[in-house]
Order: sequence, then structure tokens, then C-alpha cells
Amino acid sequence: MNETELNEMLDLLVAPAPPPSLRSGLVAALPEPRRKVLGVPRRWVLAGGAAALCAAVGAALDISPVQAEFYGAMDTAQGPIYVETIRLVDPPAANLKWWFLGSAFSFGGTPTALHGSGDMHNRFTRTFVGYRYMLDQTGAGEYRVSFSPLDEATVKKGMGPFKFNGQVVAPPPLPDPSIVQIGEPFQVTLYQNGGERIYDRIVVSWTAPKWSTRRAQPAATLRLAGPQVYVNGELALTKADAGSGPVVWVHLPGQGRYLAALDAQHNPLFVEGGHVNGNVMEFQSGGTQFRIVCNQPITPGGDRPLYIYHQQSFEALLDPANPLSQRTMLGNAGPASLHVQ
Amino acid sequence: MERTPAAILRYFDEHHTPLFRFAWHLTGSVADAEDIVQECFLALLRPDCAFNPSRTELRTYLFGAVRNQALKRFARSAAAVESQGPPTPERECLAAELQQIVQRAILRLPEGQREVLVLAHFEQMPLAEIAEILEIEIGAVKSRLQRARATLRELLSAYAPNQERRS
Repeated sequence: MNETELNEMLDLLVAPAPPPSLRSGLVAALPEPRRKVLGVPRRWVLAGGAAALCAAVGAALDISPVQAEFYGAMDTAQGPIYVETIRLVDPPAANLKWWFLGSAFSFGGTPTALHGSGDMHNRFTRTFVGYRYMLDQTGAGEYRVSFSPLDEATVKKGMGPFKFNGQVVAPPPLPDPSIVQIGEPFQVTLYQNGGERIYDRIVVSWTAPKWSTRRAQPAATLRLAGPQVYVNGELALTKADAGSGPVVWVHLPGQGRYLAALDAQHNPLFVEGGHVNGNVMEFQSGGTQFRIVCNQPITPGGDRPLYIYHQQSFEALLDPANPLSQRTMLGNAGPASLHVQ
Repeated sequence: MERTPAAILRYFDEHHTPLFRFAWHLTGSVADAEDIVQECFLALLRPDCAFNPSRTELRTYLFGAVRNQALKRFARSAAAVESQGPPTPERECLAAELQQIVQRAILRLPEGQREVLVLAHFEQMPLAEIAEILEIEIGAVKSRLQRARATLRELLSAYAPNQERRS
């Protein structure tokens, strides 16, 4: 190995950026001059005023406390298990003033080690605050839940190809690890100021959230309930639930993944190559035939065309040593996947 | 030099990124690097702070302070590489593996060689400034740097891009 090769290898090692908590931690540790109004810290006065105003308006309008809802599903030996997250504002009336917040969630793992994340995006201050959680099975129907602050890499991953233009800030103190039973909710606070709080209520359950089937789907959403995937006529995969989203994808080992969407949002890489009708969607790409049969309607309405993109570059994202990369996989994805290259 | 909370935050904004990188390279841990850098800036406010602006540049003093804090932590714990969380396909990809291999190789270097390598290669710092931070002669900086690079060439030779063609 010569000097240039050594330098090239050393340059592979890029130190992580300092986390935002570094500065916020320093700020918290520095002595702070206190500003008071009539003997009361000024920020308490401001927070109290805002809370009182929201409470008055909210009481009059009966505002919902729900900011966002999300659930993920995982197949286990006992059947599908669901993790539901509901983002709530307390008091509910304060939801009025937080209309500009964005939300994002993720979920994955294995039946015995689930993990996910939730973040809140303030579009005005361009800040992201969030957490990651791990659910490690400790017994039948019992998990150990632990948390860590959301890092920038996770936020960027969730944003897909879109540019990350903001800053990840540290969340309020996260809960200590604890043991939770299936059906027992736990909470994570994302914002707290005076009597006002934004928090996520998370619950692991054997049943899908009621709201997941009660609500009308957006027109371009594909929902995969109990899907069976046939590739060239052969049954390749069955799942209890594969969630819903504007994009459905099937990964074939060594070939990359095939994405299917009802609305390709003008991405020319997606070409018409199939259709969905009732509980069945069929499409083909490069001579490979796909048929996905579900136990519920995949999308509302009658026969509709599907737009397909064969993303061969997906294979490069997978680690060949990971057993999952050698399997047929089925998933759904958000709108960012409509812009993959 | 001003030593108020507002001034400390100004110094922080100016210097914290290379200090954090240095601390991370020395400890291999984001959490440790974060603690070390925060502690170094907070120490500037303490009455017993040894920094003398007439003798040393603030940046040089801070790099020395980070180094001392890292040494204290090594004395307390031998665990230098922190867990990076649950494995994911992305994390386990080849590039990430190579990064970990390089990081492990750097963490295997003797303390004195690692400090010199990080400041010289990653921070592109002049040898004279490195000598001042570490309180050693320039000649010693050069020899430590040479030894560090020789050790790394040996440790990493199996992963060099042209290794297959040569063997």
C-alpha cells in the first residue's frame, strides 16, 4: 500500500457532524440571566398567555388533540403484530397553533426486535425533533422498550431523495427503558412548555388500529391486506399485511426492485405496465409477470392503470451478506419513492 | 478575552466542529466526544481555568483540553468504540464496513501516534501547532506521524483497493 492509497482509505473515515445536542447541552449548562415580569419569569408569562388563549378558543370549537397517526405491521409466528403511534397535543386546543407541524414515522425490525422512529418537523424554524425506539421481546406478549434521540441520518433516510434543509434538535428527556405488555400504551414527549405538551402515544397490539380501515383512502393509495405475490405464475411470497402507500414494490434477489404506482407524478421512469382492480393488481416489466392478490380491495374504484419502474440500482443498497437481500420482499413506500433514480 | 456565557457560545460556534471531530477520532464515540467538547467550553468559565490568552491561541488551548479530557476517559474505561445501534442493511454495506475497519485501525494506534495522525491528516494542522498542543518537539511529531502511517499501512494493506491485483 502506497501513501496515496493509505490517504484514500483514511479519507473513507468521515467524522460525524457534531450533534445539535452538543450546543443545546452547552446552552443548558451555561448560567442564564433571568428576565422577569412582575417577579415572574417572562417566558412563563408568555407561555401562560398562549395556553390560556388556546384553551379559550379550543373549548369553544371542540378541537381534536390528534396531530398525526401511523401504524406498522410485522408478521410473527402468532400472527401479525401492529405498532400504532398517535401524536397528540395537550391541551387539545393548542393543536390550533401547531397547524404548521409536519410528522414522519418509520417502523421495521424482526418479530422479536422491533424498532421505529417518530419525528416532528417545524416548517417555520426548519427544525426536526424526534426519537427512535427499540422493542425487544422479553417474553410472551412482553417487550422491553428503550429510546434514543433521533439523529440526522435517520431523518435524511426518511426524506428519501429530497434535500434535507434544516437542523435536528434534541428532544426533551426521553423515557427510561421499561417493560411494556401488548396493549399497554407508552408515551414519548416531543415538546413541553409550561402546561402544553406534544407527545406520541405508542401501543403494540395484535389488531390493526380501528382508524386504519375506517377512513377513506386517498385516491392514489395502494393498500395491501393479506397479499399473496405471484412471480411468473409461481407463489413467491405471502404476508399478513404490507401496509399502504402510493408505491408498492417487489424486490427479486439479484434483480433490484419493481415499483408500481397509480400516479407516477410525471416521473418518466415509470411506464404504464399493468392495472389494479378490486383485490388484484397485475403488472409486468422486462418479461417478468407479477400478480398480487389481497383479501381486501387494494384501491377504491374500478380498473385503473399502474405505472411501473424497474429500479435495478436498489440492489446496490443491499448487503449481499444479509439474508434478507436474498429473499423476495414486498413493501410499500411514501411519495419520495416516486422520485427514485 | 471575554468569559461570559454569550462569549463562550461565540467561541463554541467558531471552534466546536474540528474539536468534536478530534474528540471523536480519539474516542470513537459520539457521546464521549459530545461530553468532552461541552466540558472544555464550560471549563473556560471556571475560575481555575488555566487558559492564558497572552501565551496560547484559544484554538490551540481547546485542542489540548480535548486531548486531556480524552486521556482521562481512556484511563477510566478501556471501551473505546461505542455501539452504533441496531444493524441495518445500509449500515452493514461495504462502505460502512470499510469505515469501521479504518476507525478500528486508528483506535489501535498508540495514543501518542493517534493524536498526531488525527491532527495532521484529518485536521490538516501544521506540525508546529501539533507540537504546541501536545507539548512535544516537532521532530517527535514527525516521527510519531511516520510510525502511525507505517502501522496503518500494515493494518489496512489487506483492504487496499489494488490488493487483489498485486497478490
